[in-house]
Amino acid sequence: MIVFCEDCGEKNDLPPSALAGGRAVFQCSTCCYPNAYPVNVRETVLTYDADRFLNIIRSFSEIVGAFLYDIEKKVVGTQMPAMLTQNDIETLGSGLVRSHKNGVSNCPDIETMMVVISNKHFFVHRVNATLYSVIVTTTPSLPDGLLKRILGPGKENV
Amino acid sequence: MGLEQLFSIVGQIRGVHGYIFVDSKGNIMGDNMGAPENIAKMIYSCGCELLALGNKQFRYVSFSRESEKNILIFSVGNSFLGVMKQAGINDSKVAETVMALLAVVE
Repeated sequence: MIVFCEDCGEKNDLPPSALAGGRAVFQCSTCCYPNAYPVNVRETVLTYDADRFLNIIRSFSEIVGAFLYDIEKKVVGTQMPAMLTQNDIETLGSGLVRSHKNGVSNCPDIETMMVVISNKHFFVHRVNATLYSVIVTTTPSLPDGLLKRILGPGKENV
Repeated sequence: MGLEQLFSIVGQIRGVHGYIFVDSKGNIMGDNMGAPENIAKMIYSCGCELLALGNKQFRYVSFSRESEKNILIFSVGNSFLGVMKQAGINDSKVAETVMALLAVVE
């Protein structure tokens, strides 16, 4: 991050660690003046675009339902059959994600999980540290190219 | 059909690299894998979770891995059968064969 010396005005490029506690504390690289003043550090938060995910899902007729489940925020986007309540989808999401995490903790090379319940196939993928996608089909495989579209460039800076 | 006979048949299914059978408390009842304890825990905990979620409708779960030696978990009553699939073999084909065998046993 670029900060300016209070004495000579020259630029100084500081690492994030030098900005701990919202204060820039550094010795100017030009004039050696000891600076210490408050700064606003804008945090960049990567969020997944739930609307984009749902739009992609709608374009595949073989998908019977899908939703995004965040470990902290619960259901953050859904296109599941209307007969399921929000509570039903949250229960489904939490159980599926727990199983996925359980699998990965025992076998770190696990990539995806597919659960077959009745004639439905539930594909669970980890999108990021807290977010999982659940896609439901009646076939044992996802449409070609779907995963790449979903897990590809779907993140927006806030 | 006794358990030993069942295990023997499962181990011979085309596409099965290894198997492990855990009872309703997570104890290993039979396996042909080296060091099965970690996988046994996974099979038991994931199996219980998904059986509670899907109830009698739960058929199986497949965990796909980079090595393609995917792990499939089936419920057998209140117990669970875990199967490690050989690489290069289709998951659903192995699953269908195992489920057909389990249907006969149950």
